[in-house]
This record gives sequence, C-alpha cells and structure tokens, in this order.
Amino acid sequence: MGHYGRVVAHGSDSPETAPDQVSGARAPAPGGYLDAASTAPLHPAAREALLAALDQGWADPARRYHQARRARQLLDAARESVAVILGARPDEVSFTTSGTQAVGLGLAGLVRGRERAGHRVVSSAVEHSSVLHAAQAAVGDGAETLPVDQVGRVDLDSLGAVLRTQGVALVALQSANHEVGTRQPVGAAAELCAEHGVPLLVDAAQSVGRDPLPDGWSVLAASGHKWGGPAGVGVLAVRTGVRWRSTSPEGALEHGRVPGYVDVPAVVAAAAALEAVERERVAESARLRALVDRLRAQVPALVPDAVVLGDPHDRLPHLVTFSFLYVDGEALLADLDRDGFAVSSGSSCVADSLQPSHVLAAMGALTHGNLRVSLPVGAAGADVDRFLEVLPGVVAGVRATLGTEGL
Amino acid sequence: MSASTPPPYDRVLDERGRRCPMPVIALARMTTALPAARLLLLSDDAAAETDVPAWCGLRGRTLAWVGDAPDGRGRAYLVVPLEQ
Repeated sequence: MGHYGRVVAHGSDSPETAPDQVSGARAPAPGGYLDAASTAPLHPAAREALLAALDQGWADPARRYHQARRARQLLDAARESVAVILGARPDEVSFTTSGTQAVGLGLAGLVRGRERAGHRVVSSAVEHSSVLHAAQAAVGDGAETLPVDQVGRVDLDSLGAVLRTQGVALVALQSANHEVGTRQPVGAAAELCAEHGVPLLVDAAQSVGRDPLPDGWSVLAASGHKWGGPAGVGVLAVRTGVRWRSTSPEGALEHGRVPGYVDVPAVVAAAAALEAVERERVAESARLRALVDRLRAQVPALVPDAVVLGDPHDRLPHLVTFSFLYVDGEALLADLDRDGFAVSSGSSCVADSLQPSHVLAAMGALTHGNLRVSLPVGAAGADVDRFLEVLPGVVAGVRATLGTEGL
Repeated sequence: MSASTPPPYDRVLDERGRRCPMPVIALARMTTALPAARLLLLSDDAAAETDVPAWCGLRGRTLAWVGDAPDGRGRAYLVVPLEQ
C-alpha cells in the first residue's frame, strides 16, 4: 500500500476503513457489465477513501488551521501518488473536474503558449470527441486531422509531413483508441514532434491503470472515473518547461491551471482507486488480455459475418470491438441488455446525433451492428463464457427480424 | 446539395428515408436477385457513406462511383460486380 492509503486509513475510526480491507479489496465487476471504457464501477478502495476523506478532508486546503492542513495533506498525498503513476512530478499534476476539462484546459493552454508559432492544432482523426471539440473551440478552422489505417492507427508519415509545414501549435494523440483499443505510436510521434519543437498532448484516458503509459508527452490528460474513481475528477499534467499558458481567469488553483474549488474527497478517492488498480495492473491486464484474445478468436467462429476491429496485438488489454453485418446496433444492445449484458455501440442508430462513430468512419469499418466490449477490472471469466454463449443467438435473432438470411 | 449525373446503371434502389442497416440490406437483397446488375443505391443515411464501401469489401463488389443523387436529395452509390 502506498503512503496515501495509510494517511486515510489510519486516520479513520471507522472499522470499514481498516487498512487491510482497503489494500485487499479487488474491484467488484457487476455481472454482465462489459462497458468499462464508458465508466468503471467505483472501486472499493475509492469508496473507503471517499468516506474517510469526507470526514477528514472537507476543509479548504488553502487555509491556515488544522482542518485545512489535514485537507492539504490528503490532497498533496493524492497528487504525489498520481504523479508517480503517471511518471510526472507532483508540481506538474493538477486535478480538474473531468477528463474533458483536462483536455480542454490542456489544449487551450498550449494554443495560448504557442501563439507566436501558429494556430493549427493537428490530431488523429480518431481522437475522443473531447479533443476534437476542444481543438475546434480553440482554433476553429485551424483544427486538422490525420488519417488512420484500417485498425485505427495514425499515419506517422502524414504526421511527419504536417510537421514540416508552418504554423503547427500542437499535436494531439491519444495513448490508445477508446472505441477499438488500438494503441497509438505515441513514442514515435513524440520524437517527430520534438524534432520540430512542437508540443504533444496525449489523451491517456483509456490507458491509465490499464496499460503502460507512453513517455514523451508535453501535456497529458486522464479521467478518474475510467479507472474506478468517482466521477468529477480529471488529471491535467503539464511537463516542466513546456510553453503552456493558462486560459483561466486570475486566481486559478492547482498550480494556476484550473478554475474553481478542488473537491478534495473526490480527488483522494480517485487517487486511492488508481493506487489499487496500479498495484494489480500487470497481472490483471494479462488476465484480461487473455479473455479478450478469447473473444477475438471465438466471436468470428461462432457468429457468421462478424468483423473484429482494431489491432489484434498492439492494443489495450481489456477492450475489443466487433461489427456484425446486417445487424441493427440499437436492437443488438437492447437484446443483450435483456440478457444481462451492458455493452456500447458506435452505430449511428445508437448515437443522439444519428451519425455513425467518427472513429469507425475514419477506419473505413462497417459502422452498423457495432458492439464494443470493455472489461472492467476484476471481470469474471465466467461472464465472458456466458457472453459467448448468448451472443450468437442474439445476433441471429436480430438478423431473423430483418430477414437477412442468405444475403 | 447539387445534383450530379452518375455513369450508366441498370436499376435504381431508392432507400432514402431509411436508416442503417436497412439501405445496405436492401442493396444486398437486390445484389442476390440480380448479381450481374449495375445498381444505383440512393441513400440519405449518414452511415451509408462508410457502410456501402465496407459492405462492398466484405461481399466482393465494386463501388464504381459515388456522388450526389440525380435529383440532389441524398447520395448515390453505383455498385457493380467485381470484374467490371
């Protein structure tokens, strides 16, 4: 257990927060919940830490009395522990109110810091919508995207070419894709960016707590609820020496990077969850990778006309996406939900916008009948077995309704 | 959206107003019925832009031409047998 966990657990009188219970806790995986990439269930370590910190960390950490010092101590410990896991210094790490806010502030701050260099923001075409929207908001028509290949990996030649042109303020590249799991070549992209003196923003939301984190970023963004923390905590890390200028009004907190009061108990809980998942990350990722390998091999064997998307090897350990020909994504999700499985889809019928996923479109992948399975930490192998038992019948049922046999 | 003139075709399949996966299913049905025909699919479904070429790849057809529908409403996709 890290030093942070001791701070909270030892300070509590409640038997529920006994240290051994916190350290021994494994994330619960509610049966059939296979949508961890959307959000993870609250990790037991986060629940314990949250309850303790609500009692001990409620005061304003900027004040000069003992309750405030206690809150400050908890916040500092949380920051230190998150910084170590991200490979950052504590003063490089700021807590935000969401991953989206971390991306937005991180990107806008780089644009502002690079005003004299140019107003073009270059990202992969398959970034999370928060990155694409932040780029659009910051530079409008200066937002440009780079093509990806069939597995969703950004084209480094295109990146190299764009970096040889003028006016690029920054490059944004995710650590791994949130819809198909393909890892992005962040290390190689970072080298190219460094050669041209262009900062690199990395959205690591899907990798933190799951996969080794890439190096070479100038700004990194992540989201606490993806790793089992409570909603309302994001992380913005800005490397020392990077030309980043805050776009927040005067008086921003968190090293002057984030507006508004810090939710110390939520931050403490998110840090506790991250410590807990990071401790088991290597073993748990290997276990989940084997389960996903089974899904990748078995689904096309059991279901006709199933396309497996994303890189088969160089990918996130816990996530896989399929498209089933002649299947209505909305019906697929509803029928799986009826059978107890929570999954998501990039099909247009499932989106509020009625637009298909921009990730699938950029890959040239079939967008209908799309299904993303993302395993939570602690997911049971029996759940995957049952999913494989149920899925062929569900897909066949949707196809039968649409009358697509023999097509 | 402006109208445009597609290359010659044998049949028109007007799937405008229908959402995915229906336009692709209709295309598959007509391809099964008329395997040698040059089919012009009309669709205003955003997913067709990606799904028609993806389906052609899966079923060994050629997407010979894409443009605006002749009357300007939606898009037109000319799908032909592989050898053409």
